[in-house]
Parts: sequence; structure tokens; C-alpha cells
Amino acid sequence: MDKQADVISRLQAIFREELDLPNLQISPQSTPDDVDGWDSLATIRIVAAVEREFDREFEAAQIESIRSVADLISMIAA
Amino acid sequence: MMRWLPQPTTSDIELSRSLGGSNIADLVRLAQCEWDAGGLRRLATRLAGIQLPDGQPTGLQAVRVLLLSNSTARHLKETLIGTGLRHGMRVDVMISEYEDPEVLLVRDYDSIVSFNPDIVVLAMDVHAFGLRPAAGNAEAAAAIASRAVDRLRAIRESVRSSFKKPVVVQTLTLDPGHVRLHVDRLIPGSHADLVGRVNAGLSDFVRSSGDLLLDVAMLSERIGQDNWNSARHWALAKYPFAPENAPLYAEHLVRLVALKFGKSRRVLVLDLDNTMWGGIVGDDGKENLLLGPGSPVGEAHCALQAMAKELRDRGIVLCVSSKNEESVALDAFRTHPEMVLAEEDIAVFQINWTDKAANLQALSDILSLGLDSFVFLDDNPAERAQIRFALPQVAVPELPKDVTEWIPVFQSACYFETTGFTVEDRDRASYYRADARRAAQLKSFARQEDYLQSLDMELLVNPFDAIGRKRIAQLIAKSNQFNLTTRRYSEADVAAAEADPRRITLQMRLSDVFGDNGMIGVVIADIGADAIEIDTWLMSCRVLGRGVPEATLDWLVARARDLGKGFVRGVYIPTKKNMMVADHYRNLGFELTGERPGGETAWELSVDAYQDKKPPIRIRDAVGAH
Repeated sequence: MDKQADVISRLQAIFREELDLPNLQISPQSTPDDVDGWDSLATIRIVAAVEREFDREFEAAQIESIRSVADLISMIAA
Repeated sequence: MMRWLPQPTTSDIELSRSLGGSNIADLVRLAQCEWDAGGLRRLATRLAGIQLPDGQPTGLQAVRVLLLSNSTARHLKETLIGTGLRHGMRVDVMISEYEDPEVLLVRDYDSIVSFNPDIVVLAMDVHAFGLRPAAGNAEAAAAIASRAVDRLRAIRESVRSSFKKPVVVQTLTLDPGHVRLHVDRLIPGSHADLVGRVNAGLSDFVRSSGDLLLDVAMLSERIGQDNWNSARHWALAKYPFAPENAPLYAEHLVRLVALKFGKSRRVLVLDLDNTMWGGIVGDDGKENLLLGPGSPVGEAHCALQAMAKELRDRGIVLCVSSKNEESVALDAFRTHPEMVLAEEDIAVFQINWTDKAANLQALSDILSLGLDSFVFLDDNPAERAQIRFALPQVAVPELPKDVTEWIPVFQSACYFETTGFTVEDRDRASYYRADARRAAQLKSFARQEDYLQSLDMELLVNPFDAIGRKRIAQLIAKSNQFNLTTRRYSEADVAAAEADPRRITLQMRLSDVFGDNGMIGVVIADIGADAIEIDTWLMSCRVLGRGVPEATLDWLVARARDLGKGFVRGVYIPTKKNMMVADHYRNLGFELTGERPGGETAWELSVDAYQDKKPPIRIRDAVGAH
């Protein structure tokens, strides 16, 4: 599995868990508009889970500018 | 963070994802574990999905909680619902947030009315009051504080007139944005001074209004203010405290809410050996117990007793439940010079060899207090698990291995929260001890078999060997209670037995889901002409009631058959301390064949007629290999 696919699959597990949507499929293009329940508070939950999963801590400015799964992926890659 | 709660197992986590149908009992059991916000949200989701046939009660107290927060609080909703299950409640939560309560009560008036709350939480944090410092100005400080308290009083009044419901008021923690120095306690009008004045003023107010006080300041002190706050989450989303503290906040808030619905803990049941004191009184003797100054363990047990005594002074009923010889244990309790608790501090003693679930049930009957008001303190993880399994309504704190660490864990649970305290409360505990009747018949816990199955026990049976020699000799020297003959052998004797081909030697270890219990039993037997003659049979009392003697006998009979012997024989030699095994052989199906003056009895079991007892223990036999 290449690195990007690995990150997406781990993110997918987090999104499924945090949004309680066991069959959710996400892609880098997914945005709050097309994922049920992905509001600003869900972003905070998701970020907390991502920080645990990838052992990272993100800055408030980064978190605030998350508009898509791709934004998360690039934060993790940075 | 909530160390008094057990951690969920892998299968608990799996169940929290998949549990369906109408299984509320399982959901409540799951909720007894420590879950993070995600886990509590899953429990809330499972609860919402439960469909009960019409009219079937859930067994949960339904409570509607309105939470008014000047900050963000929506994320607390499911945390509160999941936590409610831990306290036997089906909590419905309405969050009204992000404005001052005065505004919220108007803005959301219609939806609040239709929600019809049973209780209202004024979840106001320091930001609701500002409390900008007026450093050095005592007059201004007093005015600022009294304005804050007056405002709270007005909000309380408007809730009262609109909804006539009980209210929870919170103390304030310091706003980390303000200057905070050591000297601030000396400066009237510093932020710390203002917060202190407001907390004192609102406590006075709650004392007279009869509302409930959630001491958020204490919670944040317990974990440290730097851990309580999250500057990043305040900036991002106006979270009043770090989101990882939500389960802790919810646990304390829900416990307080539960008080209004008659759910309070009033009884503390204490074990004796390795809880009240260090050591096992029946084996070690009173004089060798660790209690009192001189050792860290002895001091810790003293401190625990002192804490129990303080709880008694607060009206908590203390009871003892211990697997012991009653006379031996009571003697230590009455006469050990370092005991902090006295006999009259204890309402009821249950000292016997029956399982503890049966004993707790008996205590509940004797005291006429529901099991949901009980807290059970015991060092033994297997006893704790049995109570959690048999009586899920009893609070069973998880305890660290190290007894010196128990008190902070126990204290932070705040089990014995009350709505207030009066002189009558103080005297209440003594009413219960007036008649310490004992339940004549203890019914053994009906699902004992299921419980033993759940322990997944394995008995490792080995012949004596060089590695075990020291521990074997130690057990032979120390075991007094479960010891049929109390024959003492030295390490050299043990080595001789090990090498003797006419002897069968067994050292036994028991492991279960909680781990390895270590070496728990020793048997030495002679191979006679027609029988196996048991010379020594002893076992650690720690594993009583687990079916180990039955498993040992199954093994011995199988060995007798292999050797072509027709009988297994044993003797019981009474001592002051081994009354508990006087009927050991009778209970296992042996026939009495002889009796001597002094009470020594001889027993015989016919191998042909024997049916394996098959207790729920896997035997791993390494003896046959030799």
C-alpha cells in the first residue's frame, strides 16, 4: 500500500468512528458539505483523533483552515 | 484519568460498536468502564438504537437535563448520555449554549418549555463573569464579586419562576488569560482574589437556596489547571475546558444529578486481609500484620482506615466482608494496637467463607439499604470482578496494585457525594449498627458457575523441582488455614520428597483472565499398596471458591487409576487455624474411616465409584511427562 493510500485508510477509519458512520467512504475530495455530520465540532473531534493516530499536534490556524480531507492529508504529510 | 473505573477490554470495545437489540443490562455493564468521549458517544448511540416492546420499562431512571452554557457545550451532550448509563439513568440532554444564560432563557424559551427539563445546569464558566482584575482595590473587589453573585441569584430566580426545577451551580476556575502570581493571594482585586470571592459567595448562596453545587474548581485542582484548560480549544471553538476532560466532568455532574433522583452511595464495605491491614491474618497471625508506622504498607493501611473513619463521621455506614475464620479476624480487629477503626464503627461484620456476592446481598437485607447504595473496597481483582459480574449496581473501585496509591484513586471518585450535611447525617451511621444481626442463610450467588467460567482458569500442575523449592517450602511453613495436616517441612525435606520415587509431589499455579496468581497449592502423597495416601494438602485462601480442590482431586484420582490403586486416603489434623477444612474430605465425597481423640479424622475415597468433578478449570499437567 503506498503512503497516501495508507493515510486515507487510517483517516477513513477515524471518520467512520467519529461520525459513527460505519460504511462511510471518503476521498481526498470529500468536504464537510458532502459528508453527513461533518460540522466544525466534528472537525475538532476528528483532529483530536488524527493527532492521536499519527502522534502529531496541529496548530489552531491549520485546524481552522481545514476544508477537505485533502487539507488533512497535507497537514499530516507536512 | 478516572482510575477508579476499570478499563474496557477488547471485547467490551467490540461490543460497544456492535451491541444491538434491547440489551440494556449489557449497555449498563459496559458503561461501568472508563470510556473516552468517543466511547461514551458510541454508548449513547447504542442506547438511542434500543427498541423495547411497548410498555416494557428500561429499568433506567429517565432524566431530562437542560445545560445552559455561556461557552460551547454541544460536544458534552452524548458524553452526558453515555455517562448517565453508568449511574442507571437514561439522560436526555438539551444544550443551550454560546450566550449568557439570561439571553438563552429568552432565546430558547419555547424549546426549553417543550423539552420540560427535570433539572437545570447553570454551566457558567469564568468567562461569563469576566472578573477583570481591580488589583489593589479592595472596595472594587468586593463590589465585583457581589455583582457576580447577585447576577447568579437573578438567573436562579428566573429559572425558578419559569420552570420550578432544581438547579446545579458551578464554581469557577481561573481564567488562564489573566496575570497569576504568588503574590495575587495577597492582593485584593487580583483575578485569583476575585474568583475566590465569587466561589465563596456562590457557595453561600447555594447553601441557602438548597440547590446543588458542582465544584468545578475542585475538579480542575485535582487534575491541575494546566491540564483542565486547553488554550487551543478555547481559541478554536470556545470550549470551556479541554475536551479530553469531558468524561470526567460528565461523571461528576451526572453523579450530582443522580442525587436528586434518590441515587446516592451510603455504604462502604471493606475487606480485611490486604485491605484493612497488610497480610493474611489467618496465615500470618495478628502479630505479623502490616499495620501502623514502620512500613509504608502499614502506614497506607492505617491511612485507609482513617479515611473510612472520616466517612463514618459523615454518616456513611461501614461494613466488613471478609473470607476468614470469624474468631481469628475479629480478635485482630478488636485487639491489634494499631487499628484506627473500632468494632463499634462497623455496622455489620460478615466474616465467613461464602462468596462475597452472597455476603453483600445479606448486608443489603440486614441494613435494608439497596445494593445501589453500596461501594465495595477489596484488594483482590477476582473478588472485584465477581461483584461487578453478579451485582452490577454495586460500585466497585478499581485499585492500583500498590496500596499506598489507593487513597487518591478512591477519593477522586467522590462516591459518597451528598446534597448537604447535617448533624443527623453524622449520627445516621450509628443507627445501623444497633443490631448486627447476621443473615442465617446465605444464598450462594446463583450464577457462580458462569462467573467461574468467565475467569478462564488454568491450573498448571508440576512435580516439585529445584526452581519451585524455595516457594514450596515457604507455603508449607506459612499456610495455616487451608492446610489439612499442617506438617511443616524444611527446604531439605522438600528436596528429599522431590527425589523420592514413592512420593507424588504437586506444585500448582493458577492463572486466570487477571493474570497469574502464582503458586497457590501444594500436595505431597505417598504411593501405598492399594492407595494414594495424602500427606500434605494445602492451598492459598486467595483462590478459595474457584474449584481448585475439585480439580486437584480429579487429578489425584486419575493418577491413582494410572497406578492401579483403588483408593485415595487423607487425614485431617485439627489446629487452631484450620477449621475451614474440617469438612474438606467430606465435601469432596470421601468416607469417614476413623476418628481419634483430639479430633483427627481419617478419610477414604473409592477410585472406582468416583465421578470427575470437572470444575471450570483447564488442567495443564506437566507431572505425567516425568
